[in-house]
Amino acid sequence: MRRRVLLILAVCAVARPAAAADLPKVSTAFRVQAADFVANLSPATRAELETAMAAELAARVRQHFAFVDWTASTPGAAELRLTMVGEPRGLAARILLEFGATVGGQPLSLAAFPRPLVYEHWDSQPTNDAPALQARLTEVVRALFDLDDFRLRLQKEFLRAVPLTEHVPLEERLMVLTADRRLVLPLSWDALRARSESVLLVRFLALPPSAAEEKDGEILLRPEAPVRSGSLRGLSRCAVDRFTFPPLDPVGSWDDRVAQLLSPAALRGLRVFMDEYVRDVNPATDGTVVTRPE
Amino acid sequence: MRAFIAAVLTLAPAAAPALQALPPGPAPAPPTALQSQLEEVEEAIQRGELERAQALALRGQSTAHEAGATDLESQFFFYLGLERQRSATGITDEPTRQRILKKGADYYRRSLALKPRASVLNNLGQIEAETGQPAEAVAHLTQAVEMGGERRSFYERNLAAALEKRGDAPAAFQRCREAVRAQPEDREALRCVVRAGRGQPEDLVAFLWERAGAGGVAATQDAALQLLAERWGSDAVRVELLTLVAFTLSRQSYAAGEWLEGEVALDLRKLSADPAVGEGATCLRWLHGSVRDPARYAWWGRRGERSHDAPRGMWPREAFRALARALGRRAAAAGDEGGAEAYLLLAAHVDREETDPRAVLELADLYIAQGRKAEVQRLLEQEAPALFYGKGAAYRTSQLRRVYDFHRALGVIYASVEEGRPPASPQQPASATFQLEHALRAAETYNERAQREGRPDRIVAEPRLVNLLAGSYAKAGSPARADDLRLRSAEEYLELGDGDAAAVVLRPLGDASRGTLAPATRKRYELLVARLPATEKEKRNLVPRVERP
Repeated sequence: MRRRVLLILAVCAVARPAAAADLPKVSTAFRVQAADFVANLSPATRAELETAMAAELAARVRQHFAFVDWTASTPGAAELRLTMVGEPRGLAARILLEFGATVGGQPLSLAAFPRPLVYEHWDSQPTNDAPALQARLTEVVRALFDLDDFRLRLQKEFLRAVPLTEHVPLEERLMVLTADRRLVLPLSWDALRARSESVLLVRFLALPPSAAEEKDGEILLRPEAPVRSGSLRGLSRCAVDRFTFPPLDPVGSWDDRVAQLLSPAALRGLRVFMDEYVRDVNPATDGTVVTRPE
Repeated sequence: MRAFIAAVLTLAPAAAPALQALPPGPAPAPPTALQSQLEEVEEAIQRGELERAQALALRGQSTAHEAGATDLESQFFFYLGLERQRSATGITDEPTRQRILKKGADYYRRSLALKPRASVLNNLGQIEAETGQPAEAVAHLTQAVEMGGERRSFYERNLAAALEKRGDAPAAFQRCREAVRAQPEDREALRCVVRAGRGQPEDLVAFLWERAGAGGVAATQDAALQLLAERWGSDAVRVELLTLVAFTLSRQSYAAGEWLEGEVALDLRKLSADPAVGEGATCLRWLHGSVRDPARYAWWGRRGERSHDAPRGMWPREAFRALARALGRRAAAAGDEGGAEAYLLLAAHVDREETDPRAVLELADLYIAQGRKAEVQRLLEQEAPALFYGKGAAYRTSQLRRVYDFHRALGVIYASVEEGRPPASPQQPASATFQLEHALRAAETYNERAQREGRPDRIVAEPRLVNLLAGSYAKAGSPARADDLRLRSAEEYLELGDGDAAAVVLRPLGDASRGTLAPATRKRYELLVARLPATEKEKRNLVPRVERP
C-alpha cells in the first residue's frame, strides 16, 4: 500500500533532508553580591567561583530539562541567574540565593521562587575561603534541584517562556503533515526527550484569506513520536490537542484551517513554547517493551 | 527568498514484499554499514513495516555473523524478537499468537547468548509473562533489574507487574518502591506504588513519607490527595495523609494568595465533608487566607502525642507548625513583618498545652535581626512560662530532642536580653547560662542514646550556642571554662567533619589580645588548629599561637 503524505515545507526542507535545528540556548550565571564575600574574596577568585557555580547550575538543570541547550559559557536566548545576597541581621547577614531570569533580554518576575538559605547570620561564613563556599553552594543548589516542587516552578515560571524555535526562520518553525493531521517541530525528538504528557504551546499571528486584519491564534500540541521517515525523519511529531483562532472557539484535535493559517501566505509570526514538560526518563520504550537495545 | 511551498511527497512503498525488494546478499559488510542496517530495521519496525523489518534483520544478522560482529548480531536478534512481538499484537487466534511469541522469545534468547542485555531480558520476560511462564518472566525481569542501566525503573515496574500477575502483591509493591528510588522522576513508578500498595496502607504511607523527605514533595502531595479523594484507608491513615499534605506544603514555595486559587486548595475543599479529615482540610485553606486565631485550628493542635515521637514522619500538630513557620518565613522574606509575626505566633500557640519552641525562637530571631530588643523582652515575658512548662513536660517524658529545642530557644532569648547587662546567676533557670548549658547537655545525652540504640540521627548544636555560652562564662569571670567549652566543641565538630563550625568556636582563642592561654589550653588549641583544613586556618587567622612575652 502506498502512503501519500502532504507536506507544507520550506523550499530548503524539500531539497534536502531536514536537519534538526539546534535546541535554544539558555545560559546560566552566578554572581556573588553579599558584601562580606565581595570584600574578602579577590576579584579573580570570585570570578573563578562564579564560573564554577554557573557550570554547576547548568549541570543540575540539564539533568532535568533536556529541551533547551544549557550553557554556562556563552550567552543564550534566555538566562537563568543565581545571585548570592546578604540580608542584614543586626551586625551580620543571612546569606541567601536569589533567582533571576531573562528571556530575550527581558527580566521575568520570579516572585514565588524559593530563596534558599546558604548561611544563617550566626553561622560561620567563609568570606575568604572560596573552596568552602563553593562546596556549600553546591550542596544548596543540589538540594534545591532534588525538590520536585522547585523543578515544577522553574518550568512554570521560567522555561515555559523560552521560545523553542525562535532561532529558526519563521517558515520552518512548525511544519504541517496534512494527511497525518500532525504538526512537526524542527527539533530532534531524541534531544527533546518529552513524554506525551508534555504540552507545547504555539502562539501565532496570521492573516486568513480574505480577512482584513491579522489575528492571534493558539495551538496546544502534545509530542507524540519522532517522524519515522522522509526528509523530516527524527524531528518531533506532535498531535494537536486544541486549536484556537478567534472567532473560532477552541476546537478539538484537528481543524483543516491549521494548514491554511500556517501557510506562508497567511503566517505573520509564530513562537513555540514548552508549556508543560514531562521528561522521558525511559527513552526508547513503548508500553512495557524496549524498542532499542542499549 | 524563503517561502513555503506545498509539496506532495510520495514515500517509498510501505509494505512491499520485503525480501524481493532487498538487494542481493553482500559480502561481509563493515560495521558502519551494519549499523545503518540496524537503524533501517528499527525504523521499519517503528513504521509498522514488519515483514520488511524481518527480512532486513535476517539479512543483517547473517552478515554480522559472517563478519564475526557479535555485538551487532545480537542486536539484529533483538530486532527479530521485537518484530515477532509486534507481529503478535492484535492476533486473536491464540495458538497462532503463542507460536509467534515463542519465536520472538527464541530470537531474544539467541541475542542473549551473544551478549547479555537488560533490554533483551526485559522483552523476553514480557513474552514469557504472556505465554504462561510467570516464573521465567520474573527470573528474566529480575536479571534485567540487576543489570540496571538507564531504564532500571522501567524494568522494576515491569517486574512488579509480573509479580502482581503471579499474585505476589507484597513483592510487587516492593519493586514499585525500588522503581521510584531508582528514578524519582518516573511518574509511572509512583503510580505503580500507589496502585500496588493499596493492600498495605501502613507501608504505603511510610513510603510516601520517605519520598517527601527525599524531595518528592509535589509527587507525594499528589499521591496523598488522590488517595484522600478516593476515601481510601482508615480514619487514622487518612489523617496521616492529610498530615503529609501539610508537611509537603511546608517544603514548597508559593504565594499564599496564588495557592488559594490552585488545584490543591480545590482538592482540599472537596474533602471538607470527609468526617475524618474534612475539618483539617478546611483549616489548611484558612491558614492560607486571613484566619490566624489559634483556637480555630484546634483540629491540628490536638492531634499528636507529646510523650513520644511519631512512629514515622511527624505528628499532625508538628506538620501544621512546620507549615505555619514556613508561611511565616515566606511572609518575612516578602517584607510582610506583621504577617510573619502572626504566622509564627500561630505556630507557637496552635497547641494550647504546649508552645512551639522553634516558632518562638524564629520570632525572637526576627526581632533580634531588626534590633527590636524591647520586643524580645516582651516575647520572653509572654512566652517564658509556657516554654518552661513545655520543657518540664518534655523532661517528664524523656523527649530529649524537645528538651533541647526548649533550652535552645530560652538560651538564645535570654542571651539576647542579657546583652549589655551583668550576667544572671548560672544556677538560675532564668539565665542564658543555665539554658544553654542544659541545651548542650540534652544534645549530648540524646546523641549518646542514639549511638547506643544504633540510630544514625543526632543533634548537632549550632556554633552560636557554644559562642553564646562561652561568652556567658567569660562575662561571669570564668575564662578557663569558656576556653574548655570551645575546645571540646571544636573537637566534636571536627569529629563530625565540620571544620567550619570548629573554626568559628576556636576563633576567639586565636586572638592573642585576649591574654595568655594556660599551657595545656594552648597545646590543645594548637593541636586542633593543626587538624583544621588549611583554608579554615587561613580565613580565621588560626595559626599556632605565639604568646606575648
